[in-house]
Amino acid sequence: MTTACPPAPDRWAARIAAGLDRPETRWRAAAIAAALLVVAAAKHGYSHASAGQLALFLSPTAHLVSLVSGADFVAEAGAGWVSRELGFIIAPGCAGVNFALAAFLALTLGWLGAMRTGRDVAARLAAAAALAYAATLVVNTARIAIAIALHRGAVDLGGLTPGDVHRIEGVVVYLGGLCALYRLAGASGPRSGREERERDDRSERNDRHARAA
Amino acid sequence: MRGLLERAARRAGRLRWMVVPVAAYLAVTALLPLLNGAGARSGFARHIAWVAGGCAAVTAFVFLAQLASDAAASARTQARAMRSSRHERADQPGGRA
Repeated sequence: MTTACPPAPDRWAARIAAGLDRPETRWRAAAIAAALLVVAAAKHGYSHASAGQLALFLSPTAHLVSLVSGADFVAEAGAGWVSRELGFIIAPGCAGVNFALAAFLALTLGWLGAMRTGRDVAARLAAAAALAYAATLVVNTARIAIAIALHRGAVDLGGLTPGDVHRIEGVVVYLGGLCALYRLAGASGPRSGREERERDDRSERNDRHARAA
Repeated sequence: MRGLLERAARRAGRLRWMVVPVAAYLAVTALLPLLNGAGARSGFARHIAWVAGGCAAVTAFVFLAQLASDAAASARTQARAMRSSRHERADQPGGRA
């Protein structure tokens, strides 16, 4: 007698259906949907926002940059925050909203495992938003301070234009900051670097023994 | 050679945690603008190239930092093992420090 194995799509559908029956899976799906909705809506709004509408990001960033760089930034209606002595402007595009949205999304996805009830989801989403905002101010201040230093030194990097240098610096600082935030927030899982190393060393030893045998 | 490749693959496997932050960054800086029709704008391809290059550079940096940290940790472990074996020999009767 042979036992018929259900075709793979049926099995997957059954597994998904079984997963959706569990309340924590439904809460996690709701958290992902909420995070994606927030990101899509904020991204759409950000593309049309003025400096005044982005004051929540621009004003504290400009103050922190003034503190770090020693330059004096003043608000100019419509333009953003300007330093006449440096010839540098913190425009709406420099608000760091993209970083904030990426950080919010990454933290939400990283913390999914801890979201089991509606209260967990609400608390984690609020924490992700607060942490993303705080991290944005820190990382964006670092990015603009580095950009000012590059602008002061007028660094010559081969055939790259100052715009390209600014863009590369932005990508590296934002992505580096995002990875650091994700790691520091414990969103990458409970396993520490030492545990990972020990696990790798163990499996390397086992491989060596197996080869020797 | 195979062992070296396996080790490199295992080390690279430890970068799995970076998938989420990198994917979130790409979604916000590349995917959403693309869905909003930014693909037709001149300069968008250049922007994507810089973003992709930056992602590769940061991933390579984290990989190398992890290798350096592993090498430092294994050197520390070896030094500790050598020190303890020297102490054990010194503690034995007639042993030299």
